[in-house]
Amino acid sequence: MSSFSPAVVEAIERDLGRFETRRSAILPILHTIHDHYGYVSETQVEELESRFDLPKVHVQEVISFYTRFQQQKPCRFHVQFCDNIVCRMFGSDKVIAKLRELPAPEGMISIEPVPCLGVCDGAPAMLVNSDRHLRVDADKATALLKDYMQQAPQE
Amino acid sequence: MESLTKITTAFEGIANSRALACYEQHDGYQALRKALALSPAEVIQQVKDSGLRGRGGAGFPTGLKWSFVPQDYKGNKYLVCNNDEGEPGTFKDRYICELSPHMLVEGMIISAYAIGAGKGYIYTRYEFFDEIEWLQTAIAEAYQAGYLGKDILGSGFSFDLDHYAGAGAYICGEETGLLSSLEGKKGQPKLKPPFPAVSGYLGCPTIVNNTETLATVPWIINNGAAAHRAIGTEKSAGTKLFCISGHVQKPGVYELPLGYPFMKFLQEDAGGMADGLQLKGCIPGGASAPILTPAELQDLTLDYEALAAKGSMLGSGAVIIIDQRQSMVELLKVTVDFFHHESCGQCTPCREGTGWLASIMHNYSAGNKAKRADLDLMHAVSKQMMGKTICALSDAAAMPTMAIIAKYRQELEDFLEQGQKKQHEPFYQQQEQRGSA
Repeated sequence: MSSFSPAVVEAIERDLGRFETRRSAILPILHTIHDHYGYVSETQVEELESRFDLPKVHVQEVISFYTRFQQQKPCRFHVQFCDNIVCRMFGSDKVIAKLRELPAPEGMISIEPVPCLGVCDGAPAMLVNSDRHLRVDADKATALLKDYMQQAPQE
Repeated sequence: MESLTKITTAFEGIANSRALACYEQHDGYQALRKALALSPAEVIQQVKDSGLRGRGGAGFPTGLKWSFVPQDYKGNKYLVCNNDEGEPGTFKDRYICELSPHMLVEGMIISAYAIGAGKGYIYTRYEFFDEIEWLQTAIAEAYQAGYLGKDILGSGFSFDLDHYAGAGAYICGEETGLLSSLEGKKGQPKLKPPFPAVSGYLGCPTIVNNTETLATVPWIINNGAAAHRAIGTEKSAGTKLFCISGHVQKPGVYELPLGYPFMKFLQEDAGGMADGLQLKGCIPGGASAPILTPAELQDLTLDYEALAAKGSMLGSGAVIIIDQRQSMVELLKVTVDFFHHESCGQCTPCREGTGWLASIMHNYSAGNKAKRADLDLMHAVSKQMMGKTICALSDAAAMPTMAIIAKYRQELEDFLEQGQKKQHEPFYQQQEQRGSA
């Protein structure tokens, strides 16, 4: 039983033939896995080695170095809140503190302060999964997350 | 306001500017046709003559960098676009992706032709979800139109272009770190020499250029080296994208000729400070650039030389405006925290140094057993971090630290005294309450 869906297997095989070396495909493959499953499981790392011949040591090196790649099941909504120079001047730390107090069911929301997101003209800024939100003060951020949570069960 | 030449923001205000049809309507891919009619050496010469310098931060002359690629090399050569925009305060390359990704693609094809690269990559930080999609669309369109692939426009020159997404590591904005990442490894920088132009991606000659640099190339080919040189100053030719942020009226990306007066930029273009706030300082070139005080900013012009003369740097063109309400303690803490988080851990002075800076600063900002001598200790640690590592991240952490301590020392010291006073406050309040009861 594969830990990847046929679509993901297809994407992995495509990426393996896309670059000069198979090793270069590790980041794109892990992105694909993240896009589909939200994290990279232990079993998936095993399968990348056994089925696709990507040495575990190489895959693990990449997973441990880059902040996007996680090995734990993520929350339904992962908030990356910029907490760097410019966003901090606009009170990002206070917004983050507010968001952490927001009541949410287990496994629904995780908040991660992150370095600059490259949208300082819209500070403070946050990403909710892959959605970018700008000029999010505490009220706006709270309202947005409540909206996300309300939509969640329907998806 | 006088009208300024727009190169990389030429498509500002034009609808559907990302579409190939729109780009072609406005003379898109004409520069490619012109370049393919020249010899690669002639293209390199034009870019050399134009005075174009790397727009990612280092400001190295682009044509000169290209000329380091060994001409007699028989194997594969690569061109990589550094679109891993991560320097805090910087959001200009994002703007190019948003306005005209084809300008970057065209610039890359011309540049690849000049250096003889058969394959290229655009390396973008993964958090730019939309921008990556736009770039991938532009690449696909360019393939369909015959601008990419085999025998481009019947010239006999072939070039393939692909996109590669980073995964959240600031250090991959350093060119050799980026190449490590492109090889599927952790993004640790490599010792130079050999420089990537000689031994880069997979040991092959590789040119890594910033997005803005590459997007400028079509304009140079279209308008000529002399026209580019005519903009800006003698040593800093052309225009530059400046991203201004902080509490100003109109934060955003502005394309200005190099040598533009800083105060004019702040007051006129960016509309001045927001909410009647006072200017307290400015980080002129991203988090790595040493801060400048209002006095230093008065007569400043925005070019490589003027910034260097003030002991700072033009860097990526990220102009972070700091207003009077901001705490320098907080700014210093955020800065050292950032570099500590992003140190790749390879070199001891950087790994340990950024760790110590962050740890001292946390203690300091908590007012906990902190003392004035901590500032001297931070300065000493910073000095030990300079010029001792494989890449510039260590220096990039040390320089702004030393600048803030030197220029805003009084405030840092006052904070300590006030902080200690603050800790006593509840005690006094208690006494007063007792007295009044």
